[in-house]
Amino acid sequence: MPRVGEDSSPGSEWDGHVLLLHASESERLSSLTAWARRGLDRGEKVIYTEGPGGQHQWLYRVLDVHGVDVAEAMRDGRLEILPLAEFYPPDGQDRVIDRALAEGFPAVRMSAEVTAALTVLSPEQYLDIERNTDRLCRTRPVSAMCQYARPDSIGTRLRDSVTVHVTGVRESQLRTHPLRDGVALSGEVDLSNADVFAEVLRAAVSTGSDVLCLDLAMLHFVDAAACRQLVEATGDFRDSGGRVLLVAAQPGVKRTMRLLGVHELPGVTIVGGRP
Amino acid sequence: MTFPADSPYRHHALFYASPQELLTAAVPFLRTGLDADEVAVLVCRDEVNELLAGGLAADPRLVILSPGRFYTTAAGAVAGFRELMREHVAAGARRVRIICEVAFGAEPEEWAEWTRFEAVVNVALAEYSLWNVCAYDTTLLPDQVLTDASQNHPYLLDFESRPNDRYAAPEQMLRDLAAHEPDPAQAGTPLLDVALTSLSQLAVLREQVRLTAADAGASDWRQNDLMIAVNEVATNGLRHGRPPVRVRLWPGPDRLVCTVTDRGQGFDDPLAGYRPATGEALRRTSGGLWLTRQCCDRVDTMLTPEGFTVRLVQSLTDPDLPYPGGLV
Repeated sequence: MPRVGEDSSPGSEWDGHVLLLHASESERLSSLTAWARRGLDRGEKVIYTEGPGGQHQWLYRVLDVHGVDVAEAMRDGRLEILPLAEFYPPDGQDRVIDRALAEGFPAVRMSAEVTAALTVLSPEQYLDIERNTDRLCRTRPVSAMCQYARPDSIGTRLRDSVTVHVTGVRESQLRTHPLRDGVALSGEVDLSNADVFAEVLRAAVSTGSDVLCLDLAMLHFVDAAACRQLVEATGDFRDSGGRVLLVAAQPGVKRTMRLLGVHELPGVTIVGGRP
Repeated sequence: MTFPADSPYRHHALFYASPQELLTAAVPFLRTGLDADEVAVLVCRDEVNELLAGGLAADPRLVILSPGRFYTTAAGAVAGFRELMREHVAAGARRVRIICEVAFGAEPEEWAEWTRFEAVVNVALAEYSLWNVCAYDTTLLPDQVLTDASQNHPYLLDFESRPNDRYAAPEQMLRDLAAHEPDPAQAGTPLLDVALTSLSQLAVLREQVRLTAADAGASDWRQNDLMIAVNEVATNGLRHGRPPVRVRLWPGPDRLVCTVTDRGQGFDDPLAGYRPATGEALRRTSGGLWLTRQCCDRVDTMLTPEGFTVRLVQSLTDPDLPYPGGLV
């Protein structure tokens, strides 16, 4: 099936603030290692934390399989495993980043599992840290990969997590990427991930701009549930004068949208795309 | 049956045995509309379009269309007439009057499909300010078609428009026409036979359906549309039915037959997928079955010993007529 490779998607050069919605441990490890390895390859520092009973030996194994000399990376300080208390110091993560940059690294990557973080932080504290991380990723040479178990991520929890990572979603079938005035999407949307798609749309129309641009060039499939979310989640935005531009949709995606009348919605315009 | 008196849509049958009878009923109907600045549209065979236009002294305001644009499948024709209405409403039409001839074809299977269409429009076009007259040539059309037509239209047109006391609910007509027998293709070995228990398996199913349809010789667009339809029906089965959801795909001489079966009781709604679910209506309703019907030649539902089955039939080749909804 059409899958989006790590390096074929738009914006894959920028890792920024990434939300990894993992459906299984193997999915978690493969995305995490790809992200960590890209940092190591670029000479960046990778800082990782785990909760009690963490499984970082598996991360080492997978990195090892992918050709990373883990022992050497640990010795050089390029790969660092921090206890939770040091990963989330009381005076903020800016300190962790300052220290890593002072060591001479050009950029820093940080990753944690949300359930581990919640063993030492309240949900409110964690959300504050997420917002601060988003600021750090935008203003400093920082990438953060926040790992959320997909089955636990529903309702407001999914909404909160997508809202702070709207252009960095990594889900089994759907990825989002930054785009001027909007979001680029790659992969497929069906009922298995229409809730994630809906939260991406809700967050994307809440930025204050009155135009939302969705780049669909790398989106291979949408079903009726996806089109329904496109109608619903942008409804209030369009009702109050907002415009949604669906750019460069593939023929199959465009056909489904046309059969469901998405192109006739007030405020929606389908622009360009391959014939 | 509740008579749809409050609907702005009036769906008439006009039974005629001679050109004179057709003109006597249709010309005043169209002229009244044109005199009131309504839109008048003809969607009949060429010779009938010409006859009617002649009866109105080739009034330049008449919109004359070829039926080929509309009569692909019942669901496709519903979408086509809705698109026509949207165009005219957007252009400011207060009411549209259409005289049309449904293309019933030569085979009983085709009669059934177009009789379904005549039943469904009573619901699917109900929102539009449309006075529609379906012309039935009683000298050409089979008795079965004429009998069904006499029950499918809430209004009759002869010298005037009047209620039809033989009108029967569309649901009943659709039930009477429902298929219960397996398609002959189902006697063979399926090319694909898979069972799903989770939404996370849909992506693989889509690829399997597309590849199987390609191997069986389906055109690119037929593969794509069958994949869309199977995905929707399997999604419904996983969401509303009881797992596992079994998907089988058989080749026929000129078509593909696909069944999606779950262990549940299914739904009993003959109009499912015919009620329009497009645009803002998607805020209230799922578009899955509407999309399914737009993407297949036939969609039948039935309870079998295995459970609830939705059967999809898809031609291998592209239609001669434009795809409903357009390709892109």
